[in-house]
Amino acid sequence: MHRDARHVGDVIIITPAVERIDGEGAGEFKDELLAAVTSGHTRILLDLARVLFIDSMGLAAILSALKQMGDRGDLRVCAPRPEVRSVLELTRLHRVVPVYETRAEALRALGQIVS
Amino acid sequence: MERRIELVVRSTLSDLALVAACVRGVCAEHLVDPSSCAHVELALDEACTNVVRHAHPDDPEHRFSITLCVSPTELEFVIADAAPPYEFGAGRLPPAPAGRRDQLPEGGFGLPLIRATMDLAEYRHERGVNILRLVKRRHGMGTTVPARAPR
Repeated sequence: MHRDARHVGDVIIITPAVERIDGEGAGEFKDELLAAVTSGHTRILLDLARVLFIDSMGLAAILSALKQMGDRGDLRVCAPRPEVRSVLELTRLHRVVPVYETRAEALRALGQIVS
Repeated sequence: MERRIELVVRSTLSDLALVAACVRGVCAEHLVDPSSCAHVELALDEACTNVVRHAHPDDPEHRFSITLCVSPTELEFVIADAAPPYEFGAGRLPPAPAGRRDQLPEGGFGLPLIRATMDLAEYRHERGVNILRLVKRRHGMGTTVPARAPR
């Protein structure tokens, strides 16, 4: 799965560059999230702006990363399209993974200065 | 007038994006609400993924079928797969996640999402075939929605 990753302060922003996170791509998505966790990142912002579709396999990948981070890690989501946000809300994932409309809003919530 | 097509799908995850494209096209043509289209695409994805992952793990030699029926009042999708029965159950979404993160569920969302996103989801096992019937009403298409008893 192609994705972009950049850092703002101690936050790593992961932006999947695929339109679908489903059964076919969820494994790679999960591996990339877990790689960020195991490499020591404790604050992850997942920017889903480019993602048009996510299914239960994609959600499982996010939950897996969240569990791997433990109670002190911070994983948040920003910029989901309405279809993706709907899935996050239907499954109530948004109650454990805060969701923000924009990347800037999420970074502000994470205490980062947004230029 | 009803219109009906049947898709025969290889049991492999890599082909499900093609199914999704077909479903999106049908929904775009026959449903008004974009969120309804997204919900149908999600339900079909979950149903087909279940077939591929659980009944015939990535076995492209195996085929299952999806019958799409468009009527004036609804879209109907019937997924038929020759496989052992499974527990469709109440299929409720897990409770709101709370407490320790290591106790969060990582699975169990598929069937509940199907139920939550479709107007009707019926499962039966008949002569060795799993049959999942999913219905989305065509609200807002200038039609009335009559009550319909399950088949």
